[in-house]
Amino acid sequence: MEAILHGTWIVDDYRQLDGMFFVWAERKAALTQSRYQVRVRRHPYAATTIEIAQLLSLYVPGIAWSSTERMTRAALLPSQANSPQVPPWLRMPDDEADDAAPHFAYWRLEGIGVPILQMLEVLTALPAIAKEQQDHHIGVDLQYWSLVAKFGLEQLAGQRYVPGLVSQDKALEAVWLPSLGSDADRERLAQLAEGMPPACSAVVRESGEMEAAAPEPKLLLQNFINTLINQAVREWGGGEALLTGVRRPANLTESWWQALWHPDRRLNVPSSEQRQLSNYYQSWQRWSLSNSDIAASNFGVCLRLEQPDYTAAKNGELPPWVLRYFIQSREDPSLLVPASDVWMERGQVLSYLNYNFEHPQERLLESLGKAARISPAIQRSLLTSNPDHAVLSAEEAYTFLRETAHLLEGLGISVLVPPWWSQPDARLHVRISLHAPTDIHDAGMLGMNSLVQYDWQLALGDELITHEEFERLAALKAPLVQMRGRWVLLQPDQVEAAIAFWERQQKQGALPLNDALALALGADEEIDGLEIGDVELDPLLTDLFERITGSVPIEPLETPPDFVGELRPYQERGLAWLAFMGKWGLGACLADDMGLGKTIQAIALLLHVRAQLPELPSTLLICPTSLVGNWKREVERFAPHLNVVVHHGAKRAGAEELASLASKADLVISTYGLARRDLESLRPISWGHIILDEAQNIKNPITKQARAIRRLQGQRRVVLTGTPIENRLSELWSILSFLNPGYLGSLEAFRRAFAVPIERFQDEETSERLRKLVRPFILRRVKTDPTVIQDLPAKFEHKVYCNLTREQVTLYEAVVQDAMRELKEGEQRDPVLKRRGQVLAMLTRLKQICDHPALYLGDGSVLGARSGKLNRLLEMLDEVLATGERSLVFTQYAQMGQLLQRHLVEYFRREVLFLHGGTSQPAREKMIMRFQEADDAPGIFVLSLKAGGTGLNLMRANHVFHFDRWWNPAVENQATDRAFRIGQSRDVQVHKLIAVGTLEDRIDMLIESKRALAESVVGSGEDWLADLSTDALLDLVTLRADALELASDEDREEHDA
Amino acid sequence: MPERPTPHAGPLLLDLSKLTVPASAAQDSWSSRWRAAIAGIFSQIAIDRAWEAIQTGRVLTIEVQDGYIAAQVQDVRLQTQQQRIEVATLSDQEWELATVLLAERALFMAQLLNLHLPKDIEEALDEADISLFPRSQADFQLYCTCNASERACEHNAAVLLAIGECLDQDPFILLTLRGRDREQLTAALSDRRSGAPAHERAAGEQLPTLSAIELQAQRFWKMGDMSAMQIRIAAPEVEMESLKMLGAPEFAGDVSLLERLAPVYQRVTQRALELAYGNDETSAENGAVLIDQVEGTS
Repeated sequence: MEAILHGTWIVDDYRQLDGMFFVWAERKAALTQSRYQVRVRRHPYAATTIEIAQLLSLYVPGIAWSSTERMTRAALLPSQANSPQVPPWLRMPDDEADDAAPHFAYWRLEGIGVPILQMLEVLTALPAIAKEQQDHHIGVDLQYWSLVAKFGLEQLAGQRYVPGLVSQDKALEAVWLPSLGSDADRERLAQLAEGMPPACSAVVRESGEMEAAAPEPKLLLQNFINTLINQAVREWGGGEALLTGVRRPANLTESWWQALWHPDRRLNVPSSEQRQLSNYYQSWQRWSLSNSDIAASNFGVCLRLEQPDYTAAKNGELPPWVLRYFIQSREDPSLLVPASDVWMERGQVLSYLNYNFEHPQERLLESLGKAARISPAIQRSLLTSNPDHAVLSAEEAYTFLRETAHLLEGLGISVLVPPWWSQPDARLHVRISLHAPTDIHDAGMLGMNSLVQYDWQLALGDELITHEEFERLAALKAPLVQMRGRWVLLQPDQVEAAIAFWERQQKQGALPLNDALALALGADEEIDGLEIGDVELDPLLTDLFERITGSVPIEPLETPPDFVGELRPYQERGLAWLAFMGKWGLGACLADDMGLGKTIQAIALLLHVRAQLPELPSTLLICPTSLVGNWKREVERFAPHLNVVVHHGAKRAGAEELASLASKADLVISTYGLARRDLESLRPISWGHIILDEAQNIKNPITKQARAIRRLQGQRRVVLTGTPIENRLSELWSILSFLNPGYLGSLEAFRRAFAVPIERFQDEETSERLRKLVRPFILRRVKTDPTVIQDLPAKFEHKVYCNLTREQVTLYEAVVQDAMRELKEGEQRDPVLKRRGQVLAMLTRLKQICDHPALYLGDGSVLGARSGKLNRLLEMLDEVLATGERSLVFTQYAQMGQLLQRHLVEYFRREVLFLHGGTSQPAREKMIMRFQEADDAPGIFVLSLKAGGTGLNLMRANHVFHFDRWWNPAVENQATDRAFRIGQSRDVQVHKLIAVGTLEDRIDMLIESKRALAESVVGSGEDWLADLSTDALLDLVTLRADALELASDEDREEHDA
Repeated sequence: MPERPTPHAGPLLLDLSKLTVPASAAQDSWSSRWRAAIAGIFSQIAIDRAWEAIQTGRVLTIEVQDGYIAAQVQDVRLQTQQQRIEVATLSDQEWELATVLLAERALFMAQLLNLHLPKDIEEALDEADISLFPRSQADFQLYCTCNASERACEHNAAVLLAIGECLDQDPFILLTLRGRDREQLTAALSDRRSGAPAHERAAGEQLPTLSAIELQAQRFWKMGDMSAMQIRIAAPEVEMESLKMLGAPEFAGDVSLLERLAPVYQRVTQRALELAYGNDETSAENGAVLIDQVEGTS
């Protein structure tokens, strides 16, 4: 079922913590249209509660959603005459009625009421929203609450809540409250309140409230968070189990404690004592309120911890640690005035250098007063009249460093600690050194599975320590110890970890290169609970490391001599990179932007390797069916000497035959579908290279197809893809685990370590760590790259060869036969004009078939996977959309344009514009305006060529697709150039789709070979074709062998399998 | 015929808990307008002492109804003094006119119900020569139980200043004081709408709507930009940080509260982390199932 899940928080009284999360859903198709005259009509697109329960169980399967509470509510929605306005992501081409400004009306919704903690599970499991990949299965209202819930979960995990006391209906209630103590948290909360979509506050009860004001976003948000914190702490923190069972608690604290856990939150205390308790409570809470006077003044209070000088030790005993008090200028934080000077000041103003500090003594005392509540040492110091420092034991100093300093900063008091404290090497850590095995040094080559020698040791400070030294230090049982003249930290849990480390770990051993690289790239932060410090590499590994991380460039390679054509400089760099990675046995993913020539870089790699390593077995190339023809053409053109076998189609070779063909061939081209179906033929063969083109075909790692691909045997692995895979995590894992098996760990480990934190919480640190890990294996250049753009022509065209499907072949041949028979029969008797008409009609029919059978048949049948061109177009548009760029799609046939628009909307679930000759002037202007100006402008604009005209300015597109051809280059260019003005600063790529082996292909060759002739002779339009002799025509339109060979039905469905 | 107001809903109890002093410095804030309206009544000394009383929490209660304020303020010796202040209300004729003006634009009421008092309302009323703020000292009658020689005592000053500070949060305080509370005004406005001539009621008029939402039709399904919002679900650097920052509560009698709460906080963190990242074996299967299903639906 296609549906969008919605929901919001509903609560009747903001002072109560008893709200419910109301979940509803919007179906793609209308369900009912109420005929009765009722006050509130049912939302025609609202899903039933059963459907909602199904959707919820997709995200959190463990809950019996089907038996949860049902609710009915009314939602005030932007509406048209008879239904709520169709949201932009569901808008179909026919919904033209949205011109009228929407009015608001109530619609009845049925939904499920979910208690907050259950809903927290759902909201947490939803992926975080990234701008470019809007998930249209989840409404923006629910996306918003998901973000809020994660914020709440963060407060809970971070322990940023306190037990509270509020007065409610003349009684005191115990609640758990968010503390929101830091500016950062308050700012984020304000940002959330500000950004709440109005849709979140549009759901009310069906009566009464409907005339009231909308819930204030801030109150709604606050109530959700308060309810979440209160219920989560009560349930997770121990709940009623913590009740002591005493009916009448002995004192105020006890009754407060009881009420914090009891479902009845009210405190069981006599009303006479309530006021007292409430006053106490408020005075306690007040400590945290930062004094606005202090924040506004020009100075603050600063405490500096000074370590004892170990040379001053007497009788083996160190002097104590000292915490000194200062006031600190805000303007110039290095200006510290000692407390002793502050106490000496008699007036209200302390002048120091150029600064005047008002009421310094009061301010200092106030801050010290707060600090004393947290630090007993400071408290002790305040027993004297003019305290300027506190004295701390080593134990206290440790607590101060670990904890107190942090708390004081939270209270607005600045703290200076010894500089080594913040340096990671002041802690116990592991140091690793890695060496390539000596026998490999000469060959200069490693495989991903060759073993690398490791060696690890414990280090403290910047020095290695021996086992004996460690034991001596550990015996001191002090968290701060001195070692070789400096202070280092020895936390008790780390001491334990270190002991375990010594017991368990071998000091030396061997690791696969895989794991060694991952270590060097910082995949793990700790080992056995101990931080990993430096990783040292021997010269050979350093060499490799520097090159794959890009800090040292890879030696460039020139275009192989037998390559027909010229590689651009960035393509030569790509070739060198692919060759380098292969040499080290590392799988490589070339992810250049569409149009930068991944195919020819791969072809050049094959030529390069064939020259360098003739003994390497043949290459297996796996691509989508729609690309088989294109690959064959490209190899024939750029590397005609390569011996290519296409393993595809009904007449393909069996296992034995394939093995023998493969042993003689340089390249075997096959498809993803066959990799699965013919796995038993493909797997026994040991391939030199395995190359995957359009690797998004294995984006789902647990499909049979992806698993089959991973089982193929190849010495070197290369992946080509045009989509930015770094942001698509399961695809990334799938591709990397093909390239370098085991590198990212198991899928489940990867999910936990990377996918969940990034997808759910957009965790920057994790993203960065993952980027660091995978970047060496991915080379991605974009067109705007300065090092690439200088090599590129301002506008460039390339031809996209598409196979016909079997259905297209059948239709095409039938039309050719019929038409040629007619022509031959009438050759002598028909007048020229009639013959011309017949020829043009045939050409039109054939071109329509190349476009799509449904266009030719005109029978309104579904588009499905029946056209090779359409299949290819979808793949290419997918890539363009993934990079956030916009496309124009031109077709000669308005009917095709309409079919395309409908299909693209359904396929991509995005708005698609369509402009044709019959579009009204205002609609046309609106569309163009929207494409050019709107922030959320659609990424695809379909135009019929005839709709072009002056005044069309569509510079936001930088991909132009010609779905079919206008057999006259001048006219074609003119038409498109008039239709869009190419932006001066942006490059535009023109993709011309051509059906392999058809008249499109033939005419294209004809024009290419006689370009000059064509431009002068062919004149305008397609009339010149009509004047060809019947034999020449026959030659032109007859389907070539390769069209038959490549035709296939297996096309799209296999990608989705 | 002057309309009969519906009965008063009862005195409005002001929420003094959020009173910070002086909060609204902005020149054209309602509190500063109010301060200007009462400026001439009190001496500077009375005003200074009044702020002090507010700051130290000695203003205990304030109730507002039409034309009448009742309050309790502690004097410097912490004796509770009672205040009564009468304030001139707008006449019924003036209110009728005001209601007509307010009913003209739904926006006004929408904003009022969201507790905004936009400048436009005052301007609209100004044109009809209606002033929401009292115009002169003569509009106030002050009483206090203290023995001050004059009635413009610091306690009355404290009451009026505190009311001013609350105005920015709730404009209905002013409207109530001047003669119509929230219920009355809403009722009068809906009477007016329903009694309006037929041509003003568009055919097929919709139910009264949540006006505030309607104002945001453009961004109804849009979220503010949250791209900068970072969520990091992790245990705190310092255990029970928020709580420790407060120090031990004195009233808790013993210092064991922190110790007693430590396991509670640990358990909550543990559960939150499990929910966020998953830790049991079953999550492996669920994860795989989810991938299958989510991709299957797309």
